[in-house]
Amino acid sequence: MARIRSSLLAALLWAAAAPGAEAALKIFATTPDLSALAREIGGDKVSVESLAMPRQNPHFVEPKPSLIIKLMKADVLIETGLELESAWLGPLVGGSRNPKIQLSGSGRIDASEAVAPIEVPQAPTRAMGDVHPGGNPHYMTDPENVLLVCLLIAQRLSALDPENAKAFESNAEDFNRRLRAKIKEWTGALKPYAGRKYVGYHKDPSYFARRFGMESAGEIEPKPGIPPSPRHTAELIARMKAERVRLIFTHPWFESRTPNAIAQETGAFVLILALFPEEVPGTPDIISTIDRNVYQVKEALAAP
Amino acid sequence: MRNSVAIAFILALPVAAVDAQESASWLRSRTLANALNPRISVLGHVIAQSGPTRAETDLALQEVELGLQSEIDPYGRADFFIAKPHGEGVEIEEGYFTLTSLPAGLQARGGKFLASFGKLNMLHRFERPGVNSPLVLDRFLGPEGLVGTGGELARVLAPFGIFTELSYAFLQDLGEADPEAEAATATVIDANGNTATVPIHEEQAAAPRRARDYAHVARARAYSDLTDAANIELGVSGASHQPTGALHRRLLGADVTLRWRRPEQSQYRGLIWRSEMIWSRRVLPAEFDAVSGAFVDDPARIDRRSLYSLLEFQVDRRWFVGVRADYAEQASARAGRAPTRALAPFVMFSPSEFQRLTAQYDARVRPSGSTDHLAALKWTVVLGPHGAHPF
Repeated sequence: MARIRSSLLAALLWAAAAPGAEAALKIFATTPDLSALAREIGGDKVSVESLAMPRQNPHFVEPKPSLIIKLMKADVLIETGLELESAWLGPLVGGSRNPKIQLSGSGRIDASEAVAPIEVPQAPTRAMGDVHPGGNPHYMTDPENVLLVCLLIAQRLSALDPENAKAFESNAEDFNRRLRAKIKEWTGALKPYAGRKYVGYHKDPSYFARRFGMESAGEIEPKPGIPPSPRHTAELIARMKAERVRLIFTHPWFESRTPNAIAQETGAFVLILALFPEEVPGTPDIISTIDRNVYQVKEALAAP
Repeated sequence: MRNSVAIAFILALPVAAVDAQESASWLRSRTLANALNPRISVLGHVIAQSGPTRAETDLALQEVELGLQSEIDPYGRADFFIAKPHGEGVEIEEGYFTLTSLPAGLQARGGKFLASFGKLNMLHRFERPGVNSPLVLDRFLGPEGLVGTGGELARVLAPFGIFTELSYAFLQDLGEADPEAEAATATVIDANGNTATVPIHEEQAAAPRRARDYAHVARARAYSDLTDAANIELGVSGASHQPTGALHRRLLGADVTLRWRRPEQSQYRGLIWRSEMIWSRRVLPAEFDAVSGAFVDDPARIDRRSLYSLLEFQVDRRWFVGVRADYAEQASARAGRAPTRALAPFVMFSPSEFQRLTAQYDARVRPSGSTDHLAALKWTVVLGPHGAHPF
């Protein structure tokens, strides 16, 4: 009898202790850049995981049931918004049946609310390709936008977990201080190359280019989401030669045959302008990712 | 405390952030009216085919479907699909409400919907790989699929971290009326004392319905990642239906799906292997003679089984190749098992995610041993935001 009583007592103590042990906010971000930012802000007060992998095209994540299981336990879901995840996030969130992260849920954070989108089509149609009616969703390549998103996430996490608000505020301020110092450094590093042109595989370098004064000479995709055609590629090569374009930006999730062929014809450098930490090795967080982007671009443009 | 922290942060926002938020608000307000409307999509597919019979040689806008999908309120959503199949009238293909905020992770839906039975039954016809549906689906589940009006309760569990979904549906009917159920008769004595032979379903229409007269459909499926690129899904389904008491119909299904798609190259390469097997048991009632007060024959029990196996490989961003093998016995009692075997290789070109062109060749070995050849081309077009397929 005594053994049963002690077992019951232990079970009760475990049940009482369990919620406390799991009190840290469980945060899921749709992409690794947002999960890295949430980690900077939340520190050890939260657990953070990304749904998309660092070397995975964020437009085309498979809505696997294993991701639904993860979202069933989520307290917070941070999304890029601007329809970046529209093809796959709905089935995952709906399948999770977790009220906290539904569209009207308290734990749903749309990071795009913090930024001013660019390239907003005035009259979007599918004839424009796979356009985003709300604007270009790849805003996290601009470090100034990272600052804005950081403040939004810190504000929302503080509201969700007031007990740890001070820690979130302090972490966000520390991250912002470090990032502002780097923005100053990066701006100086790329200042001599203002006005230089690049070609992107997709339209994702736009925010980075605007921040550092670079100009687009076109994309390898004829239209967003449409694979390159031989005719478009030939026209792009001619334009790059005429405008002396030295940079081609791509990602691991795109085929490499076309960028490499264009580079061979034009003498341009093919670079991965990383959207996410760990998209290329040795970039574990947001600052190191942008830092690598900046100095790879500088090195390519400085080459004779 | 909570408000003071929030205010402190709002005050800390730089002017640029406020500008950005105003800009984003402007963008949102611009689309506010549209955002509150249902999402509208139109899907159509044209099929050109050449086969051994006149009926199988055709060129037609095979089906047009209008989809209206929206959240109703914070507690649920609604999905309506109105279809106009070739040569038929306009019909509600599906129309159901889903409650998404039930306790204990439950989800309920009510209305007319494709029952959760197997894998391909839950896809509309134009969404299925290849030009046509596997023979087993057409023969055992009906050309429109296993569809009915009623309610469904589903729950997701995660024992040992494995995604497991259980569902149960209670339906008024299940697909199209069975011709053999319609044909079953009984001898009765009418009000004037005369004997008459009437269809059983008419004779029993006035009788109160019992629980087993409704259709019951249950499904369990389990999914697990094998690696980052590979995963497996196993499912079992069961259905039981006794329409108007004339025919007892039971279906048991088992399905397996293996997928491979490297996350880094998910747009360019992928492989799916899927097989479904369905066992069908139909019990035709004994004919009752009211005059003699005896059954004039024994109940007929008809057991059938059929399966298909499908392999689809994405070879490039726009190109897919696949092959489907069918073994399908006749569901009809009169025809005997009379299995048909078929092999159907296909090629699909998808210039964007909103249209695809599929060419398919079918070689069908009839029970007699003769082989029919069928070639078909399907052009599928999607306008607007059609909801994602179930994974």
